[in-house]
Amino acid sequence: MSFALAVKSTIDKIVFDLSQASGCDFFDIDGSYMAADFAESEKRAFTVGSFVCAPNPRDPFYSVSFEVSAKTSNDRAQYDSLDMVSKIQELFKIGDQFYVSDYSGEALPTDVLGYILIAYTVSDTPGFDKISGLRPVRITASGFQFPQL
Amino acid sequence: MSLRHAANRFRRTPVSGWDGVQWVDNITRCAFMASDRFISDREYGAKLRNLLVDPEYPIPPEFKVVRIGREGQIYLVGRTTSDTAGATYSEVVSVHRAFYVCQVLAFVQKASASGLRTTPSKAVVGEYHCDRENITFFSSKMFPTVRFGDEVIILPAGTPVDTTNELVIGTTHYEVEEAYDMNGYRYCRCLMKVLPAKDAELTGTAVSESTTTARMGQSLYRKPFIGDAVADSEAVGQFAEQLDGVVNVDAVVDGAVDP
Repeated sequence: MSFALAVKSTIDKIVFDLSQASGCDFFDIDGSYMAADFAESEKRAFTVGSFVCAPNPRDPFYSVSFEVSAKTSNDRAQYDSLDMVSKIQELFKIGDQFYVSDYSGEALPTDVLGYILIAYTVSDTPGFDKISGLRPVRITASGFQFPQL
Repeated sequence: MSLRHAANRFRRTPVSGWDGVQWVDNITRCAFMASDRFISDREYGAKLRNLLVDPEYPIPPEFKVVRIGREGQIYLVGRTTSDTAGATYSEVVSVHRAFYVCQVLAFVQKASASGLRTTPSKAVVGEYHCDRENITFFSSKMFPTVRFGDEVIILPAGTPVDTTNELVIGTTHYEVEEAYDMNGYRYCRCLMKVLPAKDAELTGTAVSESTTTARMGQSLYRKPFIGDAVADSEAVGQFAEQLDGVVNVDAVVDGAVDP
């Protein structure tokens, strides 16, 4: 088990819970070619992608960077897209902390492995493809892995 | 003697039905008739037969696969038509010989604790008696060990298979391009790709190491199946004739034969 995997799965869990509460789909944009049922759907969706987690300067300190995006279709005025982005920004505010566990398995985790601290968020340039648009929020965080005893 | 009595006089052949788990004996009795008038460029009379059954003792609808008589030949149950003179006095059931057993593969995705689905994996979701008909057959131009075939797999009516599935007969994979119901059967138009030996691990069956076309026929013949009768040597010989002239994959790999 790597701390990067645990951080990625924790972020997936956080955004999945947001999508469930918002009535939206959720998928990893970097694996979207295997998620055609979501990627080609017109239903609104939250996505995660461009995930990076690396020691900085060394373990147990990490730099984390990822994008959480709002995917919409037939959103002529972009109101749906901006509404979803505001929810992302409300969820990941500067100074917020999230405990990290490994959610990559089938069972819910029982151990807390560390935490991440949100350091910076910025809305990136949106992209469009015919009727669909993707509006990303880039988030930078600092991570700390608890000592493994 | 009534017409129904006369028509069903020769209904003496016992019929067993496959319930998905085991053979159920004596589900009805029939007269086992030939159907040689319908011979196409691919089908031949021995595959297609007719059963005459008493309308009061039909093949129960839950049985889509039957075994006929003491020889135990297995057939798929097709369309039923009625012979009528005022009232129905006989029913004619079309049946299609099932030489093979195929596995149906589906992509299975599990959800992790984070809510994200993980990478899909192939899993066997069913096993059914079937027949196959070859439409065309050709070799890959890029890889001499790969061959392609356009084939039709004929499955029992109601088989849950569509274009998201793959079919496996022996060690040969079939990608389902179309799936439709016709004549009381489930037809799958498939692209067949014969893979190198290591891919046989997916099906759990060993690839025949033989270099003869007859034994290649056996490797595609149905593997031992619950309730099977004694191996049908007639079917093996017929299938071997269909493969006569096919380039042998193992020989090409070993360099013994130019592709």
